[in-house]
Amino acid sequence: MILLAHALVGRKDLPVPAWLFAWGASLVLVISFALLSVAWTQARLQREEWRPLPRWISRALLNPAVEALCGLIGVGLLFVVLYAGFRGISDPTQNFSIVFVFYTFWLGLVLLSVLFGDIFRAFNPWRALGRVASGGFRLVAAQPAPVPLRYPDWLGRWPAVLGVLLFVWLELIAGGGASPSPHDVAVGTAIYSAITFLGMALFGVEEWIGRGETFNAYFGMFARLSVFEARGRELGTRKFLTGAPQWASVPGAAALVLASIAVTSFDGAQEGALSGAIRWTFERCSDLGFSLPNSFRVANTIWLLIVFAGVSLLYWLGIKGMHTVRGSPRSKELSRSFAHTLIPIALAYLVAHYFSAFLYQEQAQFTYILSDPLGHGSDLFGTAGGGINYGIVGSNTVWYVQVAALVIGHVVALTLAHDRALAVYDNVRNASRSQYFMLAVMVGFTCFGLFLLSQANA
Amino acid sequence: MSALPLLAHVGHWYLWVPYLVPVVIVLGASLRAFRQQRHEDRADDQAGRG
Repeated sequence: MILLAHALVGRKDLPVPAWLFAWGASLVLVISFALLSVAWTQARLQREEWRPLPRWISRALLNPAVEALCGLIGVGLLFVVLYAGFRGISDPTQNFSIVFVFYTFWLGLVLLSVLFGDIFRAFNPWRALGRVASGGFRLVAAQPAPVPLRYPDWLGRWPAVLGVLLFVWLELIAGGGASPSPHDVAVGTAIYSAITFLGMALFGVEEWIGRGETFNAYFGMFARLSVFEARGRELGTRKFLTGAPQWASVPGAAALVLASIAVTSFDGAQEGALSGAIRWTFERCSDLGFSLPNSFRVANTIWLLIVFAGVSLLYWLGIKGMHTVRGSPRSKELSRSFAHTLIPIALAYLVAHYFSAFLYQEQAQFTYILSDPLGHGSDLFGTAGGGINYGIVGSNTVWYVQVAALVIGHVVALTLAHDRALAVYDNVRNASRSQYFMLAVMVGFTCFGLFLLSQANA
Repeated sequence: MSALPLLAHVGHWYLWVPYLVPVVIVLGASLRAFRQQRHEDRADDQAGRG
């Protein structure tokens, strides 16, 4: 039983059928598209126009002491995850490592990245440890640590794509039909740490963290939606949405954002829209002689990859459609240059799918799990008696938040795509024409997302 | 369950067809508008050559 995966709630008494929300959302997108075509005739989001904040703010927030403190917090939390995973209670609902990794870290940091920029970089425990090791080497050997390899440009964000798929595989599939155990999470964390240390040793700390490390790439992607960005030791702001267009110039960027959408879609469909198909594949695997947990793993892995392929195909069809417009660049170039327009959709899918689960699990995180991270009965902060108030938000409110997230996310995506089209095509007419197909893709993603939610909530 | 998994969804089409309708409408309208404009482009090209 995957206890923690969704925590979605059944709706009651909606004023209209759920599918009518898909019609309304589609109408909003069509109207937005028409307004953009008429009123937005010049590219406005292609230049960041980054402006530094007053120097005292940068000095207060981006100094070596704060940097060391953030690194220390990150390393401390990594240690707690490992310790709680290996030594704590095996009940996933009572163990720090599960709730922290799958909710506070994986979802909470997305929210913080969108609001405050790329803060994970400061708290990244692997970067902090890598820098300490590199600094130690410099101190002892009186020369910088050697970097044996150059990070290949073609590798781009592909390690992060694999990392995102494996992370979600650990969360939803590795348990073989059960929630992943805290021990599994600790082992996964230890393996990932070892891979990251190897990457840093081979390619250099900042190079691997900046380009190959999964979570830095993942949270960094959402941080492009933020108005805040640090450059060196200076903190500044940029115009809303102008950070995203600069993001996708690297190989694997489109795959990373598509993987993010796909894994959330799969999570939503696993026990809803795709449950029948997964069960059928599971039975075929059992017939082939796989054990029940392995049948679960194989069947779900196949469908996770099919969902990834399906989401990618939908985007690719939009790109192919765009390519038919006169004066289009090559499809591969188009795919890369419009990939950033999917970031708001990835965010919308996350909010829509995990909104209620996040609210519930964070109550656990900051009450009994905070005071009793191992589940052994301690009460470190006097909050061990707290619990989850499932009535904190009504089921209809959850549905309205889900619909609003999907609509807003897709309107923002449409705006980003329209603006990029104005920069890519030589006239407004061709730019608007190229977006007919992206409009269809956006409506497709919106209706698909609402269908998944309607099935998962049912 | 022995039927092919995706065919199973055909049986309860009423669950997903309402979500497909807006996609089909927008896709159809997009294709129609696109073809119409391409036709106009060709006419413009021919007029330019003439």
